[in-house]
Amino acid sequence: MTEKLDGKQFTVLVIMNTLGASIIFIPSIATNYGKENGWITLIFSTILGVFIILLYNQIIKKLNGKEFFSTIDILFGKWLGAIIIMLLTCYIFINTFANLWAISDFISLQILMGTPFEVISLIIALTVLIAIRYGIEVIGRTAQLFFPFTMLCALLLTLLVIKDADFSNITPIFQLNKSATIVGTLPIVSVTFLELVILLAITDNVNNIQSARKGFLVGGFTSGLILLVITLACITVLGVQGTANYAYPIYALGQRISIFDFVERVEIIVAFIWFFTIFIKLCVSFYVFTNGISHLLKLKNYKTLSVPLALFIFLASILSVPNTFASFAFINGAYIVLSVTAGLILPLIILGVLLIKKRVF
Amino acid sequence: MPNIIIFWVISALLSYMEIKRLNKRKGMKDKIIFIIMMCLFITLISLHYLDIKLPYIIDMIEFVTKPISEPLGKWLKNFQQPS
Repeated sequence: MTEKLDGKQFTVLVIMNTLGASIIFIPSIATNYGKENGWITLIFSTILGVFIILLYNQIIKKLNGKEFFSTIDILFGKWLGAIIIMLLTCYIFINTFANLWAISDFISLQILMGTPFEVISLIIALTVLIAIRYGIEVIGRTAQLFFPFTMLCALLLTLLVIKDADFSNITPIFQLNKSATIVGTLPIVSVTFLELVILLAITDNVNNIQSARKGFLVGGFTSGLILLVITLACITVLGVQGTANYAYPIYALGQRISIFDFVERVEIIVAFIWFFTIFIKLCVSFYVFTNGISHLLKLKNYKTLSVPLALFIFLASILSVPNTFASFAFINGAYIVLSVTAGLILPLIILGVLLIKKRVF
Repeated sequence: MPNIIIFWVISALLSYMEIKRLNKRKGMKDKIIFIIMMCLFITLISLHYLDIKLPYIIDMIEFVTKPISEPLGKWLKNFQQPS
């Protein structure tokens, strides 16, 4: 039986995937570049992101409900198709283990201090393994179930710190650091919108192509808006220096919440937002990764390789980066190259070939 | 040493469950690929727990993308001005 997602579930998956790792890193990256204009960097990134999504939507339209990896094989032939799928799966693999590292590192540093990184990483990898074995439909339903709670936490976080906001922190508006504000869109787009290329591989599971395209656009725009509001909240409350220097500025924002000296230290709501979004993102990435490898090896079922590949991402998360500082250098260098290659150049090539060979489809 | 034993126990359990599922399906190719992959990754993780230094993945990625990522990183650094 083919698993199916409806338009709403796909929209939620797009939002969860965009917010996944980025919700915790983006305010810091944006402020590092744009300083007081960090929130403007997010506006530029969202505009650019919408164009990227329009490109993906064209691919979805041309795919017309066909399976993504099989279509690449048909379009490019056996060998070239295999190379393109391999490049895409490599990118998805990097994305998966990087996200696993990010959440495990966060938990081991901020919440379960003293618990070894490996234990946290293995538990999350095994949870993701169980989730993907239930299939994409269950992941979609889970995302839909947790979505209101995640959004409520994000809304509460923003509303409860608004009384500490100092809007002089965002002035002068777009007077200084203009070029840095624009250049900052590059790392931001590479960790948010370009990663959405992964979702192209599950669009054949959406029951209506039109709703998949709409979901992509609505989800991408909504998540851009959420990131913009959170970055704005970080800059106005924590200041430019504070936002740029904290490894997890949104978590620091949560620590500022204080209502009548009664509700204190509710930063765990930030952790809730991140746990849900990154868990869904990990599930989707890992699902597509196992599907990609199974397609390359021509296996009957993706579940066969799910166990060894879960061990592989666990190992990769341990051996991913020597320290947090190296991860920031990676985001501002090699990861941009990977994201642009897998999220922009390859989709452009695929769309180009789809347009040329339109008679076949 | 306790770490590696716990890991082996978890891996053995997962392998048993998956092999049981694969036996029902009678897919020989699937079974062979599964066993090869399990052996490979269990060996690699065991090497890590036996304190044998394996390379960091981002070092490998940075090595591959170096011709583009290094100048790009340097260029981007110019825009990350200190406050």
